[in-house]
Amino acid sequence: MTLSSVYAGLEFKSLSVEQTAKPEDSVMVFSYPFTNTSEKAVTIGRFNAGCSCLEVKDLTKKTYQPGESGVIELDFALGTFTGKVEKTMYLWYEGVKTKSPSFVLRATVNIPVLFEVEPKTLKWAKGAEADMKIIRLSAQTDNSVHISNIICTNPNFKVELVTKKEGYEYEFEVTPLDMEKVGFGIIKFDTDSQVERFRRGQAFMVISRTSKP
Amino acid sequence: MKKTVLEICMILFASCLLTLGYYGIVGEPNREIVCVSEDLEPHHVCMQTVIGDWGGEVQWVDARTRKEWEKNGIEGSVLLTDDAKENFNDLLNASMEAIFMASQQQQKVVIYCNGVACGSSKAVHAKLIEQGIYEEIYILHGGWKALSQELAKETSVLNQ
Repeated sequence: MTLSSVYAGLEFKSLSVEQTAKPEDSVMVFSYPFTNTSEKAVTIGRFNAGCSCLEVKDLTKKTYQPGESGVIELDFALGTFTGKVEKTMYLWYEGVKTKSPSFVLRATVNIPVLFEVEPKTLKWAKGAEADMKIIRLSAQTDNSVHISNIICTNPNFKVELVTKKEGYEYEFEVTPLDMEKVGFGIIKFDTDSQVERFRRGQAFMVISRTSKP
Repeated sequence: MKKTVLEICMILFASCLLTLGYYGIVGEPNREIVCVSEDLEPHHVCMQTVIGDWGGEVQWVDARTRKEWEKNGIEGSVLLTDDAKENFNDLLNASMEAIFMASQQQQKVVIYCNGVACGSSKAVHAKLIEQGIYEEIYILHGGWKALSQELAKETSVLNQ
């Protein structure tokens, strides 16, 4: 084991931890093991997170004697975001009054998607042919998940749901009606997923002055 | 022993006097966000560039919490945050039309969160780029701290 970071007595295995969440995870625990390598007792005082999503799990034991090891655990609430999220927790030793923290812990989580939506935006150029284009949705899970409802926010786009493989693969066939005006629309869809952040999804459609199809 | 302690106390007292004197003459230490464009990560931008080169005519995206956005978010900004209390899909749906309109007006989109290390701007930036509607989307270096410094400067000029 290589201990890499020393901060006034506490030597951490790593100040930065990255993990990948499972689709059903709502909270992830990040662990930062350390050892007090100094000759004095070290007490962790206050802490402050960069967001409401990160909390110190349990800090009832704050003082560590020379040679003693411990773990700081952070609870990371995942919310409805998907993708890569990096957050920081600032901690100060007891008695340290400076604005700069005594040390910073970084937590990075990769939150998977339920449906891969490709492309995420369909584009047409204003004045071009009103070609039908397709958005493909493929479930990234072994369990089936169904699309239960579709709403298109702009009546200038005709949207049809095509089921390719029930519970796993779907397509939206989208055809713009009037190509003479710039326009923006959203296809909103619901799913029957048990996980809150996967119950709704979306794809976008635009008719723009300049478009890179 | 007593003499040593007394000497240390005198040195400390003299240091405090010097510090107070310096503070009185020079003023508060400069805590401005330092930003050098050449040193920035890709897609990051300095406040000077937004104000100077782009004339401040950008679409702002506030990646802080709803409470902070409602308190003092930039006028015309949209809320788009990875805050766990929010439904990100709903926020994305509510803000994408503004991003699209910015693209049609050739306006840059600039995201800010609380500071240099808040992380939300980076996550939101990745999400917006992933949607593929627009590429001219940037992260403000220093976030709200850099913005509030600029606002304070403007207020100070207006009050003169």
